[in-house]
Amino acid sequence: MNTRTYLAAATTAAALALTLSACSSSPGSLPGQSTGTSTAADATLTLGLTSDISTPDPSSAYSGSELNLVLGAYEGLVKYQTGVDKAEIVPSLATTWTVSPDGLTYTFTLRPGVTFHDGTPLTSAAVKPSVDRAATVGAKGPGYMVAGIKDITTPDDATVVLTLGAPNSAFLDYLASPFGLKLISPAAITAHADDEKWFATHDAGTGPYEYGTFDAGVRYELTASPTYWGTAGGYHAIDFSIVDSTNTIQLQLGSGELDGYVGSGNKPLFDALATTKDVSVTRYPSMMAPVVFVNPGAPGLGDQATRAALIGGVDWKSIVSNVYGDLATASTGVFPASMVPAADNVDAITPDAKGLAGLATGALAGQKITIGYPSFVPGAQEISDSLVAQLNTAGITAQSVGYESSAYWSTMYDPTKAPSMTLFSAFPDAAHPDTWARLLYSAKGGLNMFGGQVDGLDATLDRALVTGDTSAYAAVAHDVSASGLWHTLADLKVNAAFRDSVHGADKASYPVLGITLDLTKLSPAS
Amino acid sequence: MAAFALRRLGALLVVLFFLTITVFVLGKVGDADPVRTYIGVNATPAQVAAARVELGLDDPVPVQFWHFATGLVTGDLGISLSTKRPIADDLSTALPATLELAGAAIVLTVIIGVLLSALYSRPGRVGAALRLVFFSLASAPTFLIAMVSVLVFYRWAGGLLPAAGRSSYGPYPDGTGFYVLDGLLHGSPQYAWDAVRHLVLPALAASIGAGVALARVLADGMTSAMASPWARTARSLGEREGTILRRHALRNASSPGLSLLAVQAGFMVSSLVVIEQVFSWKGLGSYLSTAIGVGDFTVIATVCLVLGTVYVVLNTVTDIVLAAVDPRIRLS
Repeated sequence: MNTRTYLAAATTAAALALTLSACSSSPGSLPGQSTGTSTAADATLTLGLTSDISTPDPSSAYSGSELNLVLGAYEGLVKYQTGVDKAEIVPSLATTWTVSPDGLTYTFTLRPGVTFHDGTPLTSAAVKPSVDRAATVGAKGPGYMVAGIKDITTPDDATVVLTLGAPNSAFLDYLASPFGLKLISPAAITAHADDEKWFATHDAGTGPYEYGTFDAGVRYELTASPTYWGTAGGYHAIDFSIVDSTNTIQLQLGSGELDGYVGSGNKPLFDALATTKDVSVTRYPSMMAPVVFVNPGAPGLGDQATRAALIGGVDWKSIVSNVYGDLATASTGVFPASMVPAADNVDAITPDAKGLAGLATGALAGQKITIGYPSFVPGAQEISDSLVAQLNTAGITAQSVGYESSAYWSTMYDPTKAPSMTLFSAFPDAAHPDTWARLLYSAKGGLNMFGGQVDGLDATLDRALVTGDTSAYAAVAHDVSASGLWHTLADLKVNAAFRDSVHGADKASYPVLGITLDLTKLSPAS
Repeated sequence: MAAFALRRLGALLVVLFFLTITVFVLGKVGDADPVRTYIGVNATPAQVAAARVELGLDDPVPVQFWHFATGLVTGDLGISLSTKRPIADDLSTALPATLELAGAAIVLTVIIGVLLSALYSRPGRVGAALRLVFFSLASAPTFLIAMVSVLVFYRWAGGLLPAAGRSSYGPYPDGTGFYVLDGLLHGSPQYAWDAVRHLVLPALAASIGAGVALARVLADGMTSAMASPWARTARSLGEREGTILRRHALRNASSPGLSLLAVQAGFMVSSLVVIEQVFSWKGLGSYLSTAIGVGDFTVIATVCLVLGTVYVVLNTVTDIVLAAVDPRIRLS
């Protein structure tokens, strides 16, 4: 190829580039353009997500990442206050409520002047269809939160009375939970009934935002509702953009292409973001906590005393400090710290650094401890490796094995394959201690991976749920901890990073999950 | 040629049949429980059990295979357990995304290969230095090229080229899924140009290694061709070097180049997983990667079948093109 050929090729390429550049000045018809006014461009908040979201159906959303869409478009009767460390239930679509002395009847007064996004006025008649749909469509997930409602009456348009089949001291927390009941326009429920596909892309709530354009797997848009009853947020639209690579998240936050990112325990990413110009890192309180599970069916770990010595012999504080730094605080009890008063949330096992040496020559001599960790949970491998190092140093043979998501779930619940120990970052469904204890420690608990059992625990939980006697959870904390079957490592905060141009980020997070935001709290600096 | 294409189509069906069985068996013998991904990690054992029944995971394996195979034939592939959307809907966006990226990468591979082939055989120290650079580029891991290109063209060059995604505007509701084409079909050069800008970095990252390999094959072929007796004869008849190169040498050297390109293209489609992850390109690779992580067998199997089909089709097309380019080759 000679010089002339190169020149010809270069000229052609340049001409092509110039042509395309010239063409780019004539937009033609473009898809996905906001219908907003001229302020739309600078009033759009773009938030990054590192994985695709599940369908944002208000009745069945139960994964986490889709909840920011749901909570933007739908509201419940009550909710948790944002920007506080300890969960506090505050009004939402109900302005006031009373609970009967027997704990069975909840009377809510609805907020006046509220309309659903489809124009239907909010009246008490809207509650029953929403409850019914939550119970049926949400049966695979959070439907249990409304399953205890036996009767719904509507004395007038502004009053709804929910009657439970049995007293449940967690019921208001169920309603306030991010997974809890959301009110849906009864007209939409009538029109679309069980059409989950419709609810995956359309909304019929009362929230500050409406579902906009959804480019599945790429971008999900919320647009401000013109009929919102409350103080709307400062953004005309909110885009949730899926960006797989955390490196790209960092670059796009630095360049301003992204305005914010709410993540989990990805420490290296947020360490880097903390030094990125015009970006600030915020730490949200949450009830997420890494929990260690000890398998009573594993060789050598069937005895409570052995498990207690194992738990007590490990230097958990150093592990928490090394892995999470100031993102976490070592736990002193089995419940998340903000869930139960500190005096009631006390570990029963006293730390004993010499305990491991005793096990190495005693109960665990000749045994191999296998720690299976979920490789998809940030920090899990570091915790597992640190634990293995401590055990091996003490003379206990230990190894660390990582599992991808599907392999993890198939292994942990299978007694023939389950490892000696595992760990998982758990979060409760609501801020009530019953949701935490029942999830992890009950024989029927969804995350009771090794099927550990504490005598009388379910009965204690049932009693506490009926009576509302929170002091019962002190006994639960003691018994669970003493069993040596579980150890809560730390109270985790959730990292978030926002451009300095976003105001209100520090007060935007709901306290249970940490990753869910009240989008009305966010506004552009200008 | 029609008979040849029909025979290849028959072979494709056989390949797909065995691929289906292989992927299905692998999916069933592997440790995978996608249920908690589907219904949430906090689900109770009763909810998990109900979901297993709903998803047919408790059915006998032959029954599951029958459901999968009939779903493939009827196009009803069911729901993705991770996205909870119909798999057919997910594929309708992921497949064009990957094919558009792969197509652009193949075009860039050819451009890089042809341009570099002339430099590759350059004598002296300059040629040696160039070969060292080419070797370095070809041996660099794809993800490294991808990340460096993002750093250079997005961060250091002030956002000259986008770092992620396929478009600044999203898809046309009635589009084909090929964004460049959609922009042109909708009379929007701005949209098409934006799609091209999004294509450049991932396509470049995917094509550099293949382009250098192609350059080497073309350079070797052309060097041999230019030294052959017929080239000498052409020179003695007064033909200019450039004409000999274009009309004769390049054509003769193109056969091994095309064969290599077919192999590279086949691998390229299936190896875009990393590229798609780095550039948040929502194609088959990205879709497959997520499905593997959560054990979504139906998606894994379906994507494998699609990739297998693309591989066979690409090779068939290459064989046809080879026969058209080189009369010595007969389709048989």
